Amino acid sequence: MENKFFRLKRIKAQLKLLAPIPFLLFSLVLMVLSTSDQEIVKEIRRYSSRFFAPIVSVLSRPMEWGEAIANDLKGLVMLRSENKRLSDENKQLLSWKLLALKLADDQKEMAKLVNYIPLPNSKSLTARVLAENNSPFQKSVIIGAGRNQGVSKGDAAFGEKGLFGRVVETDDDISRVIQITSYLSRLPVMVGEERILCIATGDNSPFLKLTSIPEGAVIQKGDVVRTSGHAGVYPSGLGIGVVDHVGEEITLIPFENQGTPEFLRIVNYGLIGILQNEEKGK
Amino acid sequence: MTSSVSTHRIFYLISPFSLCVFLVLLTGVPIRSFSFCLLCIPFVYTVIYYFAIFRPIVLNVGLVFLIGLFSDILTGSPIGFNSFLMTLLFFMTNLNRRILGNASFLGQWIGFGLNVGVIFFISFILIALISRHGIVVSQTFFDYFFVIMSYPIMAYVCGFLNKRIGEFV
Repeated sequence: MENKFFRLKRIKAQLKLLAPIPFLLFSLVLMVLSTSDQEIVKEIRRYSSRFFAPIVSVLSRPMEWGEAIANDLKGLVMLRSENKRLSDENKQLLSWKLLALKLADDQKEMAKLVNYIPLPNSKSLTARVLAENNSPFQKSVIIGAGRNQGVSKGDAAFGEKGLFGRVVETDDDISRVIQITSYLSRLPVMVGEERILCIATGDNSPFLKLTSIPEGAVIQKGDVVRTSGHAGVYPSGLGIGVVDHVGEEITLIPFENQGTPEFLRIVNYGLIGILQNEEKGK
Repeated sequence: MTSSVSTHRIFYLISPFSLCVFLVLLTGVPIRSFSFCLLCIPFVYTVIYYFAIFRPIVLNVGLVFLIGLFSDILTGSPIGFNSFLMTLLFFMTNLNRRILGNASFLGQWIGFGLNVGVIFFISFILIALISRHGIVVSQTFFDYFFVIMSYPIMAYVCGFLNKRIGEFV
């Protein structure tokens, strides 16, 4: 009798050890379902973002204060050298300003000569970054502006220094912006003064890789990379970054490469390009 | 039992789960100073590992699965991805519970390194299978290194909670 009791107890303990197996199998089933039916996953994420983005935003406040204090201290320590750097930069910018004014005048005159019709004005707004989604599958952020504020799918998102990403999902008051460095990101770009056309692809690292480079094209370190305007998602000429390494692979460092900005400027250029086809395909 | 003791009891009993949820929520906090995501490192693995050894009843497999699902929804991974990895970590640790529970602190640390190493390796394969692309190896090593290095601090926090839970259970 006692033996039977101990045997039952042992079986029970062994079954307890195997309890995670159904959960593991269920996870695998969920994984297969979620990769095959993206729409349900998107819906779940949209609803959860609505709920959790404000919570994450509150959690990020102490972090922001800490970073602000650290930046202030750093600023105090580097005050002298920073002052010198800024005055040098100011001198340089003043000479650039004169050149820019001259070029603007020339451009106006030439536009008149060839009867150039300018692009329609873009609409923009600034939104706060509420949360960040960083997984091996994508790099995106949630911003505190949505359809009600005039954000639409395909809008370009800019940080302080350059292009940060593109709006991929919109809800009433929040939107998701996919970063240009994310795995899913593919940007038609032109490189340097030669305007070499290629594709900038993200791999979740802070850098972008240049692919589909035409044979014989010469790309050098320091070449500026801008959007080419192909596929009709971004207008031509938006600054993306600078070529950082030329070797077996050509990588570029984006202008917007220092973490996630606090605010993003969302710009609607009235272009939707291939995204329109995507919508129709759905 | 007074209501204050009862509240304390509930607080400490749900504390491992709450700590995991908090750590998962932290992964969504935007970091402005670094080009890498410091808070995306899965510190939650340490909590799961620790409680799978010392209190698998308080942080049981069902709760671990839920934490994984929550992480999937929040981070933008396919649903089931993190829940699979976290449940697997719980399963592997729980299988070796007796050995790890009786091991020295250093032994537990090494055990953690091995278990989490397996999880990182499986996640590497799963990502390649699901998204048909590899992941940046340096980032994976960076995450792995930081998770292992943070073990003493995280284990201290978990140890404190475990001690308080012991007073109520």
